[in-house]
This record gives sequence, structure tokens and C-alpha cells, in this order.
Amino acid sequence: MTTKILAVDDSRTMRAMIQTALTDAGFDVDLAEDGIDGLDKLGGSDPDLVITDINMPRLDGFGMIEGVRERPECASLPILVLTTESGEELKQRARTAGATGWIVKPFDAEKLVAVINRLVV
Amino acid sequence: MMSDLRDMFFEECDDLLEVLSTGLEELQNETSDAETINSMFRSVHSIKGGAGAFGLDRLIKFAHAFENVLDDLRSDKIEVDGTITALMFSGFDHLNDLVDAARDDNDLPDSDGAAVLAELKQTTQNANGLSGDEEEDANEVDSDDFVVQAMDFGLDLGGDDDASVDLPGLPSLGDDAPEGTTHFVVTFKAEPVLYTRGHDPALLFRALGEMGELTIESNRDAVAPLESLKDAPAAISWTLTLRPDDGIDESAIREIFEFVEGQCILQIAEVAVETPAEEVSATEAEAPAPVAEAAPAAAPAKAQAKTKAKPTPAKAPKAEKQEAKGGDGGKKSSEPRNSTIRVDLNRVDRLINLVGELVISEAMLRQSMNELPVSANSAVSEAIGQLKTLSGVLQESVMAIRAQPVRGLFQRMSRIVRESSRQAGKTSRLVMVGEATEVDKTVTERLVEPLTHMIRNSVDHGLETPEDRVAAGKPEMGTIKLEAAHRSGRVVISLSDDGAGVNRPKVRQKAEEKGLIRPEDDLTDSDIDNLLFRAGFSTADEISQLSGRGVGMDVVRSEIQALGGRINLQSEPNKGTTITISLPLTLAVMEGMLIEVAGESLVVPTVALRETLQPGQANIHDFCDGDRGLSVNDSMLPIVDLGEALGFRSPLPDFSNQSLLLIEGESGRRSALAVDGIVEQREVVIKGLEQNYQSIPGIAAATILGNGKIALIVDTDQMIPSPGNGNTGLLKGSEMAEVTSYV
Repeated sequence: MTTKILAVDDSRTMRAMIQTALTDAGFDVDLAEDGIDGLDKLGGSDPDLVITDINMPRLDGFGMIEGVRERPECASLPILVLTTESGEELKQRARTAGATGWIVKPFDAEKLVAVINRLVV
Repeated sequence: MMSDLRDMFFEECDDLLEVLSTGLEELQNETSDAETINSMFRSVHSIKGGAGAFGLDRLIKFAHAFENVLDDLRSDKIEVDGTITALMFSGFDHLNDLVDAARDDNDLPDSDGAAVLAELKQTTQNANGLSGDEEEDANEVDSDDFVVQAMDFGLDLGGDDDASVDLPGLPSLGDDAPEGTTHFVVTFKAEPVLYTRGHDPALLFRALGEMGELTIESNRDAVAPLESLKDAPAAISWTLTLRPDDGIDESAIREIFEFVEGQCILQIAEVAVETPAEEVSATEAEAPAPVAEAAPAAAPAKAQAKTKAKPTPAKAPKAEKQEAKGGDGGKKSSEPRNSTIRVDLNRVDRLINLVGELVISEAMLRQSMNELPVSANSAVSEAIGQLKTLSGVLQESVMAIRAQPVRGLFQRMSRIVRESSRQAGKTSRLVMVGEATEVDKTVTERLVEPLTHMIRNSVDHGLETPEDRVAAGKPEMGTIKLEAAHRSGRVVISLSDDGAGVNRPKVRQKAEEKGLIRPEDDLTDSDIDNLLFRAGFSTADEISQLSGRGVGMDVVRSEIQALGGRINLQSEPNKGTTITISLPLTLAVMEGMLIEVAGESLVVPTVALRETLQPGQANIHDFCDGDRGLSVNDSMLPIVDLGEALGFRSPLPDFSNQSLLLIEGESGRRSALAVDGIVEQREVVIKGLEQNYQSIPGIAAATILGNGKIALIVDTDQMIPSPGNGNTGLLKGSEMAEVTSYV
């Protein structure tokens, strides 16, 4: 079964880049524009892994992660934060919210795939 | 593919800059709230993120500094005041420049934006109480990190920055650990929280297995008996022994456990091995049994020992891709549903062209119908009537696709106002009205240059210096107003200033000095004002930095005319000047009067048409040189024989059998066009001559008639003599001078 990834980012360039990188690597990709959109799509998408940006309108990455973790079926869903931010304080916030990992943009497609393969079966 | 993404990035930049610009306006007008700053921050942040992906270092650095200040603003470390707003505007302008330069692959001079960048950095330093050096370092590290990460992915190990460079399976830079001389012994025990954050020890072990030969032992002593089993995974600990591949060091191993830091007990020890070969084989022999039991049930095979030379992570999904391709190709396109779509402009233009052809075909069909005997079926003509209506609606709808609000154009102009005010030492603000008015995209694009020049003129020549303004009892700050509106089927864009108005005596004097008019010419105020549009005219005593760029208002005027537009200037002393541009809604269709001259069909744009007359010889007056004038309501208009002007025939002896079309040009001047006959008023689809043939004096464009024949569209402005011996392309100076004196 193809691994499904839900990528949440408010930049359409970034969404397209993530989609290209992951689709090329054989993943199935669903996209969402912000935290609220991401949570809306979570049920229908039923992803194996979530990638989320931090700075987004309406609901940011932290809120998105908390929202995911609130759902019992997503309690152990891997969530990767993909952002340009690299501050330790923000990372700690993400960790507390329930993030699995933190990747700093800009990302290298191969390496992103390597990390994903470390997190999904 | 990458270039598509690049295009997409720059398109997105335009949108983001617009958001930023709107935010800035709100800041300036003090209508901003917390979300304003947030959205501004996100815009700059997204630009930085995208720039990082394309390695646009300079853009990254600047966006980074800009973003920091916005971040300080949103966390209330800085208060919004005039200085900050001004800095934000300068930052916005430079960000625009950087985006444009990156888009065109240009390098800006190093000095560009250096001051703004320094000021942004300084602002952040002050807000965060850092000394210059500290912040300098912080910034330096930060931006360096950023660039490095563009290539090295930038996994960021908490607390150990150096580790982030090394990656599984990749030779680590500068590492020269001797081969086969050490093992790593990793002991690992997960805390319960590790599982609730989406981690799986088996996957961590698999990744570790890709770094060399791995043996895994589990310690399940702490696991409770099945009947009282709770939190079982957290009770198991593992001992992993790795015989690393070349270039794998401790930091590479730590990196695998990067994300679980703090969620497990992890110890990594480097153990020297004296007889590596035997030791390894011995371990191998023992290993399999514990591994099979130890690994969590989800992935027993994957965590198996002796995992050297596993496929690289990317490969496994690739194989799956092959399978997936046949079945669910359509499934991946679950793009967010927007109420807008992005369409290549070429496609829209093709559609517009096709609809244009359709309109012509429809006209041809209608014409053929009219030539049929009267007995023609009335049902057919009804259907054709319907076709006409439908193709009209279709045409309008297609044109609407190209329409876009003038907001973007206006916002660009606010920068011009700021810059030219600064350079001219004046203070001014831009007021925008009707930014939502929609105009054809080509029109908004081609208005950039003329509007830019007009605004520079307004600031430079229109507005007074602050001292003069105060002395005249006006507010110190000048106001430039840009207004757009739809008016009777056209778009009207006006630019007004509250300056001193046109200095008519000075304009007249200059025009006389330059030989544009003669001292005895009797000119109305409006005539004098519109002298500004004449070629080679400049009222500035010294060519100023702003307006003296070799472009005069005459160029502005001809650009507007090229868009099928009219430009007009109205001025009131000490109250200000208003320049009004009136443009057709679309560039593709036009109302025109079909006429005949010397056996040729021609079209005169209805826009310029004021009246049609059959005057009779009594109202036509002969002058010397064969010039003739028409007396209308006590004034005399020059008569232009269209057939002669276009070189179709020699001058007619008299105009008694001719129809006269009264036309009015941009300047408000009139003349009478003599033609052989008037056929009908109709809508024509404009076909450019320049791209299909070449430009012809006196002709603006062409169209295809219902009978399939081509009719040329007359450039009426070239048929109207201007005051003095000006630049109307077709008429000789002497003729025009003569004509002027009649008016």
C-alpha cells in the first residue's frame, strides 16, 4: 500500500515543492493550506504521516499538531514540522504539542524522503 | 519542472507582496490590527522560505532581517510609529526590487538596499537589547546556516549543531575514522511519550541498520506477565551493536535519534575492537533469535540483524510507485479547492481570438442572410439573431477573464509617490479611489510606465514645496489622488494633485520659444494646458532628477493612444491639476462607423465621432492653398479629405457631395472628415496591423468585415491638426498653422 502523506503549508510554492518531491519518491500526497484545512482533511485523507509548516494563517502548526493529537486514532501518527524556523524555543513548543520531528527549510528532497522512511513503516 | 516551480514562486511573491502592501497601508492609515502584522510577517516569511528553496541568498538575507522586525512588532517589542512605518515602506520597496531582480536573474548593485538592511538589523538589535556585535554574529550564523541547509538539509540536532551535517548513508565530511576498528554500542529504552509522538523503535533501528552491520538484543526482563500487561513497549530496552560503514560516526548515529531526544534513555558508546572479523561473526551467530522476538510486531523483518547494504530509503517507495501508477493516477490530485484557478494567459488570449473570429463569422453569416431573397426562412433569421446575442455575451464573458482590479497597479504607484517625493524634497501622500475597478490585464500592464511618469510629473512640477504650500494656506503635505471608475463603457483613470496648477503664462512662453506655437495664436486655457502633451516640451527650468528622463508627456500621450485611450488635462491655478485617461474596456472590440472613401471601406472609431453632417456648399469655405473650412455654430473647423490624406486619390474639387464626420481628438480639438458615404455603425473586432504587417500612418488597426473583406480603422487623432505646426503625422506644418488661425 502506498504511503499517504498530508502536507500542510500556506505557501503554494512550498506545497508544490513538497508534492513534487514526495510524489516522485512514490508517496501519495494530500495537501492543505493551513491548520484548519489540515485538520479538516485529516479524516478523509487518513495519512500515514503529516508534514506541517509552523507559520500559517487561521491555525498555525502548533495548533494543528495539538488538534491532530487530540484525535485518539492519530495519537501515534508521525508529524514532521517543516519550517524555516530553527529556534530552540519553538522546537520545544512543537515537541510539547506532540511533533515527531523538526526539519528546517529549505529541504532537500532525498533527505526529506530519508527522514520520512525513518518514521513510517 | 523546477522552472515551473520557480514561476509559481514568483507569482506567489506577487500575491505576498500585495498582502504586504495592503498591510502597510493599514499601518499608515492606523487601521491595522494584530492580524495585519501577522499576515505581513507570514508574507515575508513565505518569501524567505521560497527564496531558500531556490538559493536566492540576497533575498533570503533581506527577508530574514525584515521578518525579524515584523516579529518584534507582533510580539510588541517595537511600537508602530512613523519611523517604523517609513522603514517598513523602504523595506517593502527593496524587497520588491530583490524579487524583481531574482525573477529576471539580475544582480542589484551591492549598495542597493544596504542602508535599509542595516536599519532593519539595527531595529531588531535595539528591540532585543543586543549589542551590534552579538546581533551581527547571530545574524551571520543564522544566514550561513540557511545557505548551508539549502544543500545539507539542515536536520537540526537539539544542542549539537555540528551533528546536523552528517546524514545516514552519506560520507561525513572530513571524517577519517579508521575502518573496522570500532563498534558502537547503543543502549536504548523508550519512554511512553515516545510512542505517543508517532515514533516507532523498529524504524529507528532500521535506519541504524543502514549505517552498517547491526545486531540487536532486547531486554524484556521488565516486561510484566501477559495477564497484567500494560505499557509493554516502554518496558523493553535494547542493546544495539553497530559495526559502522565508512564515514559513520557518533554524530550520525545521534542524528537518527534526534527526534526522540528526551523521550528515551539513550547511551552511545564507542568500543574498540581488537579482532573485528571474529567478533562480528560471533555476534551474528547469536543475534537472530533475540532480534526476532525483540522487534515490535509491526516490522519484524525490517529490524533484522545484519542489515548491511539495504536498499536506500528512497528506493522502496519508488518500486511501489510503479505499481500505483496504473490504478490511482487521479487520486493524487487532491489539491485544495479554491474558488479561483490559475490559467496560462496564452490560453485565455487564444480563446479571446477565437471568440473574435466567431463574432466575425456571425457577422458574415448575417450579411449573407441579408443578401438572400426575401423568402428566406424567418426561423433561420431568428436563430441568427439569437446567435448574435449569444456570441456577444460569450465575448463579454471571455473578456472578463482578462479583467483584473487596478489595485495592484495603484499600489505600485504608491512607491513612486514616496520615492519621487523624497527626491524632490516634498511631502505627499497617495489617495486611491476605486481600486477594485477591473481593467484588461494588458491595459494595467501597459499603464505602469505612463502612470509612473505622470506621477513623477505631478510630484515634481505639480506639487509646491512644503514652504510654498504653507504660505499658500495649504496643508504641508500634498495629496496625489489616483482614481479609477467605469464610465459609459470605458474605464476612466484620473490622477489629480492639489498643487499649483499649470503655470499657463510660462507654458505659453515656452511653447513660443520652442516654436510650437506662434505669439499671435489664440489659445484657450485648455489649449495651453494640453501643450504639455506636445513633443519636446518641458517646463522645468532645469531638468530635474525626476522628470528629466528624456520622456515627455507626449510619450505618455502616445502610449495611452496606443491603448485606444484618450488623455486630457485640466488645471486650475492654485487648486491643482487633473489628468484624465479614458480607456476602452477591452482592447479587442470597438464601436465604429463603417464608411466608404474612393471605393475603400474604412472604419472611424465611434469614440472620436461627434456628429455626421451633409453640409452643402454654403457652409464650406475655401482658403488659399486649397485648404477648406467648415463653419459650424459660429466657429470654423478644418476639413480633412480622408481620401486624400490616406493617399487614395488627389484632392476633390468640392465637397458638396461628401458626407462630413465631425471628429474630436484627445486635446478636445475638432475637425471634419470628408468621406464618400456612411454605411453603418457596428462593432468591429480589432486586428493589430503592426504584428501582422507594419504600422501605417493615419491607420490605427484593421478589422475583418462580414463579407470577409478587410477594412482599415482610421486613427482619428492623426486627422486632427493641432495648434501650431505640431506633430500630426499626416499634415504638413504650413497647413496646420493656417488651420489653427481659423479656430
